[in-house]
Amino acid sequence: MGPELPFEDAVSQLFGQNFASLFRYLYRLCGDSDLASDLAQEAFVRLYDRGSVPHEPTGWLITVSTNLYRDAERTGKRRARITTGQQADPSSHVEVPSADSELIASETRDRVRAVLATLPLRDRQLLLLRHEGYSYRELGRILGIQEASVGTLLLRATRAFQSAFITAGSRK
Amino acid sequence: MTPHLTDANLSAILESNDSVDESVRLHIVKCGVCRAALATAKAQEFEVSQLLELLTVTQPDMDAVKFVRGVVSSRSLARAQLRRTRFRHIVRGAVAASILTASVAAAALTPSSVLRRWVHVAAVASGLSSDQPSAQAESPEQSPASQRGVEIFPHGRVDVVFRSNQSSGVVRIVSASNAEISVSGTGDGPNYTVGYNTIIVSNQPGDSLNFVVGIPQLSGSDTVYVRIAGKTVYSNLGNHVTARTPADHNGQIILPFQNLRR
Repeated sequence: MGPELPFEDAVSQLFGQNFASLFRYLYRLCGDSDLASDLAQEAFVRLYDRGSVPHEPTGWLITVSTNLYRDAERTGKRRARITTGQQADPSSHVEVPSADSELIASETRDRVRAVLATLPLRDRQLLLLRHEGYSYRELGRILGIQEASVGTLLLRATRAFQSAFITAGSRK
Repeated sequence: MTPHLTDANLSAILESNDSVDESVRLHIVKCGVCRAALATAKAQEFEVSQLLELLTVTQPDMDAVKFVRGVVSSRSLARAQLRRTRFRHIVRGAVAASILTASVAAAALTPSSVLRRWVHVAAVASGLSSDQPSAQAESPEQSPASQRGVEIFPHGRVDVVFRSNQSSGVVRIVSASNAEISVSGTGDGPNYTVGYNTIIVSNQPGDSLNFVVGIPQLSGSDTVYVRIAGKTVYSNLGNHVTARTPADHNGQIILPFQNLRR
């Protein structure tokens, strides 16, 4: 981004580049598309209010929106269904050919959400941001951890998720 | 033989990290246990990725430029509102200070009960008393650029003054939902001067502009006057209205400038 770009244009450009990815990350984090959209937009509003583009805008947006999510969760704005996974978001979809397949997919989705919700926030962030394609270096900068430690932490988070997913499946 | 792979080695290989030591690569070739561990790690990574992909949602259709324009617009309005509120507080403070100073000076010559009442009224009018509804002071309503408004304080009076009588055009008096008495014009022609209790519209005799005067629900002793070229064409004393023309079926009073010639 050139330094001569007017601030509002810079914010527009960042919005175009980052909103979709930020929304997906937040949606997977919170399981609610409306909340994810609100949080992503609020992060950009905060960016505008900041008055200047941060050194690492993508990391800044993720950090701010994650903090907003944490606040929303803390103040009870997060809906109960996110943690229980009892009701899938109606706007979520997976292309499936039959009702049986849809049922299985829906149950799997709920299980994924429920398992994610049991992991520590940092593990969730690592998994979801990695899934969005961020490198170890970027993850380290965004989450404030040593790049050398990212891989190990991510590997452990992956194992923890898989183990919890299998356990959740065997309980059913 | 080098020791088995650590998590750090495994993750570095998964990341296709160039910093992976050559001895580690050679170890994988030779060690079945580590090859299996690497295969498991890759499979886990793939499986978790597939599961997370299930959490897919149609993302909202957001236009970057429109979004930022919306933010800019809302922030500009908020700043304008803040400036307006600050200005009101400054004006109130100045008026209150002068009134209270005068009241202290008059205290020696005035019976105390009268003075107390007068000081109370002055404090209310200047917004220092709790009698002043906060909703009026912090009205969130925003005015369009061509609109000017003033608050009417309890027991107060506001004059809306049109300097000139135009050859055509009307003044429409309507009920306002906010706490302000406001004037909005159809164009940017006239200048508006907003004083402590007046709005002066500097229109010209040849203009053919239309105006809307918004008047909120008044309390018992509030008064609003609308004057055009020195003539009082409308008065509202505690919602008792006297006007040159009657209200229409919508409750609006339309005052054509031309009628004032008669």
